[in-house]
Amino acid sequence: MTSELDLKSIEKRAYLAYHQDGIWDIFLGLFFLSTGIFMFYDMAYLMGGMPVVLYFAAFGLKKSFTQSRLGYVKFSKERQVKEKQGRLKLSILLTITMLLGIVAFYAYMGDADWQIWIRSLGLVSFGFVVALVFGAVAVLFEIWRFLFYALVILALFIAGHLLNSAPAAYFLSCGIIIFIIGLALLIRFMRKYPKPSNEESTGGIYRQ
Amino acid sequence: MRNRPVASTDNSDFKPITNIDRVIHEPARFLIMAYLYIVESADFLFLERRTGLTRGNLSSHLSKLESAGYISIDKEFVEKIPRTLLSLTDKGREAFKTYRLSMKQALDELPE
Repeated sequence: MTSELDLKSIEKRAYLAYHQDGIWDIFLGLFFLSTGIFMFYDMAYLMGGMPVVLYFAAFGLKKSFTQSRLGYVKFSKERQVKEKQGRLKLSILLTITMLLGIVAFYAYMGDADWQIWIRSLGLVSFGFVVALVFGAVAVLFEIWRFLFYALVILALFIAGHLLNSAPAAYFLSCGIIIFIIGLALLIRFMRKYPKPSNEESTGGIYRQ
Repeated sequence: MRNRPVASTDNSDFKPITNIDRVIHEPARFLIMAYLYIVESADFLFLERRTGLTRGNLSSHLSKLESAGYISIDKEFVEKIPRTLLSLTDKGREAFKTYRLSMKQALDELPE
């Protein structure tokens, strides 16, 4: 391995450390769990604005919790560009996902062949789209456990459809798996990076 | 008392090694330089976490690197929290590049 590659792997490890806190996993797990619970009580519409609330909550928590334990770093221009491109691509994908959601919604409004076909798939098409988003996150941000989540979601939605389970059960099982993994990651992260003293976190010991 | 004559040595074969920058060559300082080389800037805690050095050790090595003019230290407030940001100076970046090249050359030239 060349020294160039070594430096790249050091940089990658430093970057990935910020995504090993399990916070996104816990919030996504909570999203699936709460969707399942609301579906169970026939109140799934209440989940409409939830992704936005969860996104800002997770983002804020990451900033205060993760950065206070790992320290602050401004990555290289190359990494910043890569991150921005990743977010842009993900935004495009999420927009396409929303459009697909609208198409799926219209599938329940008529009896055309394509509408009947989509209806016959049940929530599998939804699971496929969500899995696609998770897979994209894995590839774009190099967080490979999201690929595992994508496969789990796809498998559970297909299995649920074939076994004719209640849709709430797909969401609950996905939520439990993602939430537990997130919690395990969080515990490991807290053990590995305990909260530093105020002096330590600000670098106060240096050049007083 | 007469001084003993010093045997003359011809170390021209090892010139790349003798030219190695000793400030960077120390493992802990090399690690600090490597981390600051791959990022734009970082705070004290980031370096402490990534390098695994104790606070005292890290402070002492940072002082040496600062004395050599390889790193710059800026204090700033981010959301009302004081933060010590460290980054490589142009001289430090250049020195690290040279160090890598010299080491590579020295190691490549060693016989198997």
